[in-house]
Amino acid sequence: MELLSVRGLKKNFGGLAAVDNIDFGLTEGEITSLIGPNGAGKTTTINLITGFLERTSGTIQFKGTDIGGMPASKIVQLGIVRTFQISQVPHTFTVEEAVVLGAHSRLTFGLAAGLLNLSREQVRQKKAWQMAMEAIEFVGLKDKRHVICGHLPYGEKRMVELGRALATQPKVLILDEPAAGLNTAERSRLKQLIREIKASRLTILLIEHDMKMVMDLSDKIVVLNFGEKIAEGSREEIQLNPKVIEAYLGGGDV
Amino acid sequence: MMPRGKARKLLEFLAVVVIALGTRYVITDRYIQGIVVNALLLSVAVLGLQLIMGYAGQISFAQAGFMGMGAYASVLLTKSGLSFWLALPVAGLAAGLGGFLMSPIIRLKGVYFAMASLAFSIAIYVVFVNWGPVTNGTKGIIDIPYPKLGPVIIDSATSFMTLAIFTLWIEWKCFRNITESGFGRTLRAVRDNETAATAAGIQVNAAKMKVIFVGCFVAGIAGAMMGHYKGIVSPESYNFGESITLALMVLVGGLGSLRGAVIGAFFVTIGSEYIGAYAAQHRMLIYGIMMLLFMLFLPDGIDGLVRMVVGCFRRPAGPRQVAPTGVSR
Repeated sequence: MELLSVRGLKKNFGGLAAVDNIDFGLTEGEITSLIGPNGAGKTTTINLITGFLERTSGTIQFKGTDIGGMPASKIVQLGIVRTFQISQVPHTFTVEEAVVLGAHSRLTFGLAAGLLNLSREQVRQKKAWQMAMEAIEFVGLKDKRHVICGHLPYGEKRMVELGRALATQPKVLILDEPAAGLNTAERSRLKQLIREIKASRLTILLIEHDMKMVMDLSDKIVVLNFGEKIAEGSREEIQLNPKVIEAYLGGGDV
Repeated sequence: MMPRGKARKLLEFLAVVVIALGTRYVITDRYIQGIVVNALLLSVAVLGLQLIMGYAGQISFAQAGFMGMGAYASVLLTKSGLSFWLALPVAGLAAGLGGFLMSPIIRLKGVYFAMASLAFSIAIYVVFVNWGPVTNGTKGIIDIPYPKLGPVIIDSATSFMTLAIFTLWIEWKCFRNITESGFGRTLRAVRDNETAATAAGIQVNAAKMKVIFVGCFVAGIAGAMMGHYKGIVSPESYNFGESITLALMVLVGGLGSLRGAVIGAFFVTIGSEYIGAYAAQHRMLIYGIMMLLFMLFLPDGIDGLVRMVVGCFRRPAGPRQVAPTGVSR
């Protein structure tokens, strides 16, 4: 079943079409990779889908509803969650606080309930910490859960962000270059985590430059270049597609 | 035997009653009593500003303006016969709703919000000066009736000290609850990284408006009490210079710390008396220099300094560490 679909999506910045008439869909429970050279429009597409940018035209449908004009926080509440190329974590929070933040998409922490410390506030806090602990253990940060995020190395900040994303209990998880800046050991751990996330029935959209990871993980690959979709298919189809090869390696005789 | 939690709460309440009623016997000098009342009432407003600046990360130079809204609203009501105790929450509400006037600027980030709040503060001052029929312009409003609690008339420094201590205590408990709650976490997330907050499903602008409402509400309460204590409400007390002084109190006490708000209010109020005695004409210059010095050398304020000193005497921290910007809860 197609959970998320993008039709005729366009984003213009002045005269430049960063995303030019793109169609693709995410099949439920599958890992779809979005690849293409730098500047192809991958992150812009993600920003459009997740509400961080407003589209110029086109539709973005999630479970049949057009989420096109919705604010980013609302889209997160609907179950579409993304991570960033440069991990965005609150720098004064401890790891566990940063992850539990994800629960704020599912539970409303209101001002009045907090001010009066009503029993429902306490109930929600308990639930939130439960959700968070599962995510913290999954990404392997249990031992570091009291460390301040600002003090963490790059790779671990990434895991914190992933933990937060999982704590939102998403339906669609969008990962924007999660392997960037990770060493080989960290990459293979990441791959394993992504496999486990897929096994728990989540739908994943992966933007990556690590081709081995893309080929190993993806059920479907969508290729962008200069804002347009130039190919879509299985890994075999993509690897043999001349347009894709040209986009990455340039034209001319090989 | 009552359960431990309840016993502790009762003990705390009794302690506050003792302090509120007993301070007048410890601080007997009238002049000092006046300073203490001033500092206490300003603390009420500064705590609100701490919530806005230290916890939600929105730098506001408009807090005195909201104190003014509360002051004018409350004295106009009490002068027309309404009980002070009913006028008080109305004053808070007036100021809180006034905070909603800032909604067009909440989308602005950092410095831009600060500048816009300064402009806002000036605009409020201009309204106070020019809305003669209501505010009596620069002449101000006088003959303000004192609050009455049954047979007791609150008309002296000592009785206002008692009132201020109770008010501050209630506010403290409420703010403690807020900062330790899920909503407190929301605010800190908005302060640290709005993108991360949004990506976690938080409605950033809604959170900002809520905290601004609360911060302005208590400013209104402080303004109302101050107006009835001083016996006069005039625009001069609520111009942007005063707003900057309130921001200075937050900075000096320690950004991000509730304790710091009270420390800062007392420190600057007392310091201001010395400045008034020896160098009154250089007041704003001294404030400016203080602000710079604190930002450069003591970014966590006095509260941060105290915690650092106390930390030297504690055994080395286990997994728990102190956050970089001194988030104290």
